[in-house]
Amino acid sequence: MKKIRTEFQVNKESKTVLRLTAYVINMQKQATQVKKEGK
Amino acid sequence: MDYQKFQETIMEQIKEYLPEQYQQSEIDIKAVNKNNNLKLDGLTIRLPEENVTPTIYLNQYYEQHQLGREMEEILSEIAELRGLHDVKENMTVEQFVDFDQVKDKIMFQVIGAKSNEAQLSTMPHRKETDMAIIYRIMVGREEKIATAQISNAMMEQMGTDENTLYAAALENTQREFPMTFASMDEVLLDMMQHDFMGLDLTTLPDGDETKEFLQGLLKEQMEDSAQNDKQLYVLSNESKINGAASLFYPGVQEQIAEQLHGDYFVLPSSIHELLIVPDNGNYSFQELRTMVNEVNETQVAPDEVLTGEVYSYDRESQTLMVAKERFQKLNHHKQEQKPSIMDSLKAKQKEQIPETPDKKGRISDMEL
Repeated sequence: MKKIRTEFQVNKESKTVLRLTAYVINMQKQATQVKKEGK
Repeated sequence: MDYQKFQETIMEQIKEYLPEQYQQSEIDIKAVNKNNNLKLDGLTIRLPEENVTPTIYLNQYYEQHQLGREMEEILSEIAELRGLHDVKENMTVEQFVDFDQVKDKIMFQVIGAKSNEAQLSTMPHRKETDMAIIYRIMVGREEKIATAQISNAMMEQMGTDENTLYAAALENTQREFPMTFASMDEVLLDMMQHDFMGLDLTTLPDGDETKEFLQGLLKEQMEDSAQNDKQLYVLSNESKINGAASLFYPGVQEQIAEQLHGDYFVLPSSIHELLIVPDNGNYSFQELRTMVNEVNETQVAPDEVLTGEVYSYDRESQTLMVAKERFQKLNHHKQEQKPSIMDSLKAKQKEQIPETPDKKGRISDMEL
């Protein structure tokens, strides 16, 4: 082993917002569906 | 321009964009195996005296070039990135494999075990359900975190074992990356405040009309979704990088159950954060699993996907399991307890046979 390769680890905030928002939208859709079925 | 030509152009021209001190550097492009078996081409610009060099992945730049971005612009950005990501701490390879020198820098990270099966065979790890804990040495930490993965060969040279790496990493990771647990509304509100359509609201002075208006709008939006009784929580760490690992800090799983007063589901949003959903009967794990796979496919970068499973934490037994396996086990258990069809028929027949009168001709029960 002669050299070490490093990685810069990042997590772009804009990407996180997109991921989390996708879950919020999906959960809300699901909740609306449950309510409709409940009726 | 095809990808081969693109790589050649980068290698030939990058020095023209780099400052004087990089003119003697060694330029190289190597295929790198990233998380989830993703193969990327990493460019390294190594100064003669350097042992630790950052890797710049070219694949995304080629995509941008195909969409019309000029080569000049790409080359300038790569050159700028290289300067920004200079590793200040130039450790020697000998230092890297000297356990005493790196023991305070060893961190752990969580990745999917199935999607990284081949890579896991080359590195020390331990399995947690269908996830795996792997180890990295942190060599720099400013805005971004520079790390090097620990391979089996490195561990061997260190003269240590996985248990020792785990013990060191557990202590260091908790110290360097404290866990955060907050409701989805709080997390999104905080993130959006820092980037509301490109505007950082926190930089505006208090009392600023735009700031107050936009903050009010965001809060209103959040309160609306908070009224929804199906609350979501986000588990990560303060730096929001590799935050899924915090689920494996001692006592965290139990603490969440205590705070939520019951069982919960864990959704692998990405390697950076997990979502926690109280298991209050509002969702089935199948619905949640479909959701995870849909979001993974559409919103998560391939190397940031954790897994496609949903996990279930049982407060009573204090265990975390892949939800599918827990429910399969429960169903199996129920079926074992359920009598077989033949047993039920026999029991029914027995019920239907009229009771024979006792010696005195009495029967204990009569249908009227």
